[in-house]
Amino acid sequence: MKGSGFGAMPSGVRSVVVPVSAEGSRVLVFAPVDRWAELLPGQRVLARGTLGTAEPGSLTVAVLRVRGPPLDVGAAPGWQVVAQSLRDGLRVASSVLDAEAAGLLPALVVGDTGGMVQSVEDDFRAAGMAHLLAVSGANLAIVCVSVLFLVRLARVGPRGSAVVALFALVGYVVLAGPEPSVLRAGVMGAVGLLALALGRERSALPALAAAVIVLVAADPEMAVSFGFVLSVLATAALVLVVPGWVERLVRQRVPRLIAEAVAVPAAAHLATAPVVAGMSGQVSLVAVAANLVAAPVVAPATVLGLGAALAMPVLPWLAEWLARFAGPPVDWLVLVGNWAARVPGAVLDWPSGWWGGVALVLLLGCLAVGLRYRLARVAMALGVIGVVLVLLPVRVLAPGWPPAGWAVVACDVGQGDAVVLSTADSGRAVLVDTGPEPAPVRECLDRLDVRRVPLVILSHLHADHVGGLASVLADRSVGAVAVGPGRAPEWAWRQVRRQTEAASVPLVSVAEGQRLTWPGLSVEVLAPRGKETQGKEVRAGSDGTAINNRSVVLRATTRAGRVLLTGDVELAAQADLLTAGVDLAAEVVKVPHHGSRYTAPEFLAAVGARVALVSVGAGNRYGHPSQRTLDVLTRRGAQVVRTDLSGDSAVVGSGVVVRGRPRSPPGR
Amino acid sequence: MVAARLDWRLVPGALVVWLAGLVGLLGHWALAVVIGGVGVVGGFVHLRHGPRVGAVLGAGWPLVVCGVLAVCPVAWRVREAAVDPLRGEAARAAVVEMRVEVAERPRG
Repeated sequence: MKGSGFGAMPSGVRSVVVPVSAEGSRVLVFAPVDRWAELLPGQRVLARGTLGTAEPGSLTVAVLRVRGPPLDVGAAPGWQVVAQSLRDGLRVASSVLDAEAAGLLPALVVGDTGGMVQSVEDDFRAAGMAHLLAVSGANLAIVCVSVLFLVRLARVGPRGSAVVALFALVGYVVLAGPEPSVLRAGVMGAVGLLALALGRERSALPALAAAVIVLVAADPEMAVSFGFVLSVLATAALVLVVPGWVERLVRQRVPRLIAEAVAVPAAAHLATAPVVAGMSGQVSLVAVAANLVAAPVVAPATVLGLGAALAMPVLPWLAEWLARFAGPPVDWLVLVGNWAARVPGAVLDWPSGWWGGVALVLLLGCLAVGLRYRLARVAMALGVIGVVLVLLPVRVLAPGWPPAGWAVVACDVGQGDAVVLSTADSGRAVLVDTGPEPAPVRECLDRLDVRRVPLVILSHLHADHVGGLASVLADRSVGAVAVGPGRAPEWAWRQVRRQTEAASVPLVSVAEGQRLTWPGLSVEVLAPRGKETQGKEVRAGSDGTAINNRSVVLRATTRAGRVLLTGDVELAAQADLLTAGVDLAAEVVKVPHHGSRYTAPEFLAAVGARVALVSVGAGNRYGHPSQRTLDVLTRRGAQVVRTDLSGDSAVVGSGVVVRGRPRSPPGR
Repeated sequence: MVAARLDWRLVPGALVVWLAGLVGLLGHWALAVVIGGVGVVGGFVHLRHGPRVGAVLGAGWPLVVCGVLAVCPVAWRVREAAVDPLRGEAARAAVVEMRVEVAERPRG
């Protein structure tokens, strides 16, 4: 389970979900990564924990929350051990590639996304290419076609070919893990093969129907699985729609190969778009093009990767060479995902849930009917031209974001902080905190076109402030990373050191009284105060409040006035600043600790800001921001701007400009 | 027309099985039995009074078989899960020690 990280909890994978069978009853075990992540299907273990109710609408009867490691661990079936060693071997072989490709190759071949670089995964989702990261019918089809091609070359007869292909199919299912999703992919892949490779459209529809019957009868939970719905719809599109589209294109003198290359992703995307829109609240407008461009290299990369996995146990040098050969196709996929995700307007926001899906079905239905009539086609063409003429200048040529002359932007990074302070140099800004995850802060900086970051200041080392550091270091030129005296929690300090070392970026300390300047921006360090922290690293006191109270408090002087950046300071640290008589006055305040209730009205009064930025995640489970804190700010006449409601929020000389489109709550 | 060449005979049956699973899990297991029953009856009606020509010619027997499948195993398994004694333990947030078999690879 990937957590965004909050407070002392690290971001990234920290717990796993393990589907288990308890005397025939399906149970989901939520367990710590330690030792649970290494288990293989078929292993029997003793689990001790607290039962909880399962989500309705599935065959899972309970969830079991476990704190400790698995007990009395039994042996895994031999074939599972072999499959796991092959998967591990693929990871090792892939490590000869650069990090992005090395993570993507195992995902492409066996759906192993554990080593993927987060930004690549994000790009694939935005580009509508995420299906490549899971084992799908396409993988099975690629394996079967490759094997059939080889056995045909060896002049094996039809029956022999079928037997070999069947063995290959079973072998691949074992390698990828004979889990419901893989078995489903196997059946659907066989159906897709039937439709396309054998050219027997008439038998493809009964095969698809038979697959649905067998799969739902064997596992009724398939009926409510989004993956199953997507598989059936995509396969149905291949069977029902693609042949007709291909024929039409061929009649228009389009070469058959190109016709199929266009028709397959287009039909699959249109068939699955309503479900995806309902699930994610987004419609990818670049998915067809991205998949079309990506498609030619998927099969070679998969086959080479599979070869590497199989060769690794016996001929490691061959495995490494096969992985090296897979490098260029995989690099191409990374590139396509990256380009597609960055196309302006690549993803269209759409209402999520059932109604969103139904609305898209109706829209696509109207389009399909409309396209049959000449007048409607002309009207639609004019409509598209009109939309392009209006949207292109608005979204691309004269975008509303970032606003001209922005001085400060509170990035919408979910439940966490990331504040960007502009300098007078174009594309150069100081970043205070990096949010809980890599993607949101990267996207925010991309939107602001910040390419150079002379300094990243981490107010403190809680996960919701440091979780995105890796992406900032990876994607742009960073001068240094600065921290206060706090060195807790220990894991975060280790992570920050590791990341800065890996990026060869200096890690420096800032202390009270320091003043840092850049053209058009100066930053003064106001806290932590006290002689005990002067020049010393503070490792003790790892409870959340102590760490929060050691936040670096800054006052920046920008073109929009003074901006007080408060980290997560709570009542004690606020009282220290007040009693020390520190001048806190500022026109803009980043409200401490996501607007928590531990904010003293006296502190806010001493600041006297006209704009209060509350960096907070939608639907967070901490109750941030506190209504009491918001009321205090409102009573004082401050304009309260919340990132959970307004998205990225900028302060410009004349006031506040918000981007809108806030990030969805987790789990949506 | 491409559609005219297609063989739709198994499609109604597949929809019955799928629908049974869907309403059984999202609603109540008894609804899956109802869907299965409707499938069986519909299949027999189709056999007696259905069109003698057309795309769904011959859909009767598959519909009957799928109606039966919708009742057993689909509705049966949904019912078993619905009345599983572990649900009661889960509702009470019981602390337990249980021997389990890993069904799928742990997901991060």
